[in-house]
Amino acid sequence: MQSTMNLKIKYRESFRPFAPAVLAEKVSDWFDMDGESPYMLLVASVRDDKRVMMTREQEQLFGIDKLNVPRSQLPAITHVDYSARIQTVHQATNPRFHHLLGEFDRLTGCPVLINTSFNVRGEPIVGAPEDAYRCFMRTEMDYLVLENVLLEKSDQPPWPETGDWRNEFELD
Amino acid sequence: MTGLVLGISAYYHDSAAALVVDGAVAAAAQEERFSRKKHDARFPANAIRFCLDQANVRLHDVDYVVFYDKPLVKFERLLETYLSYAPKGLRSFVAAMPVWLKEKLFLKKTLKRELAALGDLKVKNLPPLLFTEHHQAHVASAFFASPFENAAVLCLDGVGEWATTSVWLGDGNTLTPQWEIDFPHSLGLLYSAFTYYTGFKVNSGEYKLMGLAPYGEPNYVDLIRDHLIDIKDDGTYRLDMAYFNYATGLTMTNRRFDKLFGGPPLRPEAQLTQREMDIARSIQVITEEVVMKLARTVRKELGTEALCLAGGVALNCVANGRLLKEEVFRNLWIQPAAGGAVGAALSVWHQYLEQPRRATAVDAMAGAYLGPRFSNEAITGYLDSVGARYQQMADAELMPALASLLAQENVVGWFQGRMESGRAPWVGVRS
Repeated sequence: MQSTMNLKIKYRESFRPFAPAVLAEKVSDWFDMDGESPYMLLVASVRDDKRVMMTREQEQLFGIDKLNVPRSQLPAITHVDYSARIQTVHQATNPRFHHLLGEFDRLTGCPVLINTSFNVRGEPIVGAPEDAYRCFMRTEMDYLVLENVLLEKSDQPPWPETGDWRNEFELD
Repeated sequence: MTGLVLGISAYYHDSAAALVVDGAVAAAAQEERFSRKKHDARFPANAIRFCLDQANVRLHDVDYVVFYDKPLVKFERLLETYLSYAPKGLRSFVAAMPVWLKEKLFLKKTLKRELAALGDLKVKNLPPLLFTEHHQAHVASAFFASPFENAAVLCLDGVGEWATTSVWLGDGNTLTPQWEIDFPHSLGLLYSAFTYYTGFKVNSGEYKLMGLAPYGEPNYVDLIRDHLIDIKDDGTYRLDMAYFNYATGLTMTNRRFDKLFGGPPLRPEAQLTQREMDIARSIQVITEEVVMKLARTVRKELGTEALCLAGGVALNCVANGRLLKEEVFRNLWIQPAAGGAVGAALSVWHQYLEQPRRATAVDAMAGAYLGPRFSNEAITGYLDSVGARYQQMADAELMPALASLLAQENVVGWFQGRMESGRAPWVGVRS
């Protein structure tokens, strides 16, 4: 999932792991952390009981080859050293995202979603609805939510594009 | 007292605006989110307009406008650096001077002209314009917005005016400087030098270097320690400037540095090898060592329970995680916004106007959700104009539907609530 999302949606380097957004109440069930990290400025380890141990052959792999070995039950957000850059999601400051994570947890038993910024490489994160729709149509994103509005990619009229938009943004 | 303070940062990188209303951060945003130009450093006209609209006020209602850099101090640093390294630095001095002369030295005039145009006011009718020092603003944003009544503040920046590392004691509405390490000795610039050397962009590629570190082995730690940085037991440090070019030249590192690491800097976008990963890991180890030692020293000297981190190095979330894990301080808070505009405005409110401050349980950044929000009407209005097809759903129906789409591994764009403000964004409103 990490390599797929990096290349399909973000058009960015595949070595960078994604960050997990986790229900603040359940962070210590999955990570070695019991405080808050609302701004993704803290890294903590995935808990031992959620890790997948490597085989002896896998231990021998170096550098980027280690990337493709799943390291935990949350492979896309677990770095090769079992660390993760955590965002705790709080009812008080982001109630709708908290609601979504709660529903996801109820359905799957997992209160964690992969979270990455809404942009492509080199583009500032979307600000207004038109930025979001443009980015949605240009990438291989499947669905788009704008407040209470839900859009499905396959329903949309063709998006007229002139030239290769990937040249529009200087790489960061 | 009631009052409006507008903070502005611009002309360096990532210009931004913030509005403090009666001591509370009411709005904050970066210009790039409106202009769609990444790291936009121009006068943040769009961000200022948004801040004023959000509070439903106009520019002439504002009591003070504050800019986050004292341009003359920075100019003096530039001059002094070049003078002390002359004549080696002459070439880049010639290249840099006209920009500084044009943009920075006449900054006050430029700012006033831009503000007057934005507010449709005569220059003499503008609110008073104040300047805070770069570090002052960073430190103010790190402490005044924190949930702590008192705390130590450690600021680790590339360059401010002169100080690159500084320690402060925050208490109520005061911030008292303790000690500092001055330019060119800078942990931030050391990290940036390696960012440059491994082919990433200085000022924005640092987090990529950090992300690369776990793939590498710390094979270069001794080399860095033996040649580049002398770290004392208390965490203070000195760099050997013979290996760096940033004080006098147009690049971060020089030929001696290349020789030490066995080759020239990697070209941007070139294939990363195990060597770059090992270098990334090594500089991460050094960074963590300095941060941990400095934090322990600060804890011993000031004895506070809480620490606030400020400046670019505070974005090294791996080092931050270690600080928390090893419980150097009981509580740790890191300002999510770049800090310039927010910090400058809070600094005016608490330090210049001497207004009291009461720490709140949730910090003053409100999850960083300080940007504009868009209504369902505004959204459907736009979507109709481009012929998009959509359905509207109440949350009770929408959230379970989304959860099931996500469980089937669909990629969902998520846009809701007030836009995030700051440098570590994507916190679940534009995801």
